[in-house]
Amino acid sequence: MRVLRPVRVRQVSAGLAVGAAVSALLSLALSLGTTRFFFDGEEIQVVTRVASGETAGDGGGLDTFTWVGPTVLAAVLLAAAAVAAVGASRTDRPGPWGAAAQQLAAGATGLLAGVTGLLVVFEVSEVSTYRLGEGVVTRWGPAPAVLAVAAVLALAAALTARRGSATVLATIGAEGTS
Amino acid sequence: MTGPSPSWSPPPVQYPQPGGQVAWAGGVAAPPVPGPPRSPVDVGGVLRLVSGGLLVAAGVLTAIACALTMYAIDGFSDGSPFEATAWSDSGDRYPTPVRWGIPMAVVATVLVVGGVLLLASRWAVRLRGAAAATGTAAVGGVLAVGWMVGSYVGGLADLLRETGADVGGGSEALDTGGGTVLLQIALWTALAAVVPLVLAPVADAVRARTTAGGAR
Repeated sequence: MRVLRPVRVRQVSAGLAVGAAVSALLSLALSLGTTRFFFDGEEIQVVTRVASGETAGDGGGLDTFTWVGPTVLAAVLLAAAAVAAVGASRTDRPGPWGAAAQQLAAGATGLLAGVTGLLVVFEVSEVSTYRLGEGVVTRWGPAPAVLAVAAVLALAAALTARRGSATVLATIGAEGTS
Repeated sequence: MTGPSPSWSPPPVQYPQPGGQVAWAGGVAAPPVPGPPRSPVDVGGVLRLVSGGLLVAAGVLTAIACALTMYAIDGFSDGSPFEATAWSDSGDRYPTPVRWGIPMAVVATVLVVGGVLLLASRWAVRLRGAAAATGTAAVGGVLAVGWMVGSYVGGLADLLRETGADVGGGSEALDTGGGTVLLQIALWTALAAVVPLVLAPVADAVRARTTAGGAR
């Protein structure tokens, strides 16, 4: 009978948490969106929103939107969740390490989901605003998608932190049957 | 004549009444009076109730914030202020309208669900793991929303101030709306719920150890 050993599942949870943390940090190097302004078919200005809230290019005067703080906090929580999951994977028995790993990963999931949702509604508004303008093209950047992936990985880490069933396959009276 | 006379009657016997004073001989210790068994207080359960209540309160505050003004900008030349709620705004000129209400409503829902689960987990032990995880995720969500929306509104106020200074004392000014303020209150309320949520399992472990020690 095959059983899902908690030790293995917790190791997988730690890996998922690390993957989510890396994805979250990767989003800090990516853009939310890029708006290109054209005049007579020639590109005259490019404005790119980045994680720090600044706009790469000549984007002075625009409102700023930053996602560095919650994303870094989520990455820190995920790193702590990975450490706790590794600590929990030393034994098949349930314990405080598994519970801590699950709670840390769940908190990071909420953070990343919140950040992703806000980025999406912000960029949807941005795209819809510039859609009406002549000679303006706004394209989505990869940051929301990468953050969504990080949120899914963090959710998987939270779900697997306390999964699995111990291998208690007792053979009662096996010696007396032979 | 051997029997008692017809006028004789036995002396009255004083039986001790329950609850009455009993005199003990000197030097003899009174037996211990066993009282009703004392059940240890379920501190973990109380902490879960507190945490769940705070989460529900934070969810209600976030839901109310969705319906209030997030910020207003006064000082336009035509005299009409620009007002933005979490769902709409009063114009399309400045700044970009953003529908914050969608993530705010989702976060409010998760906060209320997490709070109710925590309240229920006071009695349903099987729910404790899921309730704690949901509650923590809800706190993370409201932390992200409150942090980023507050940062956006603050940044917008700074931008208007700097822009006004650049053009020679422009009069446009941003007033933080009740929605933003309520969202910050919800954020801190939810963060306060984390403390009893983290302490509840510790209290459970202490109680279990105390009970095991008493049984031994």
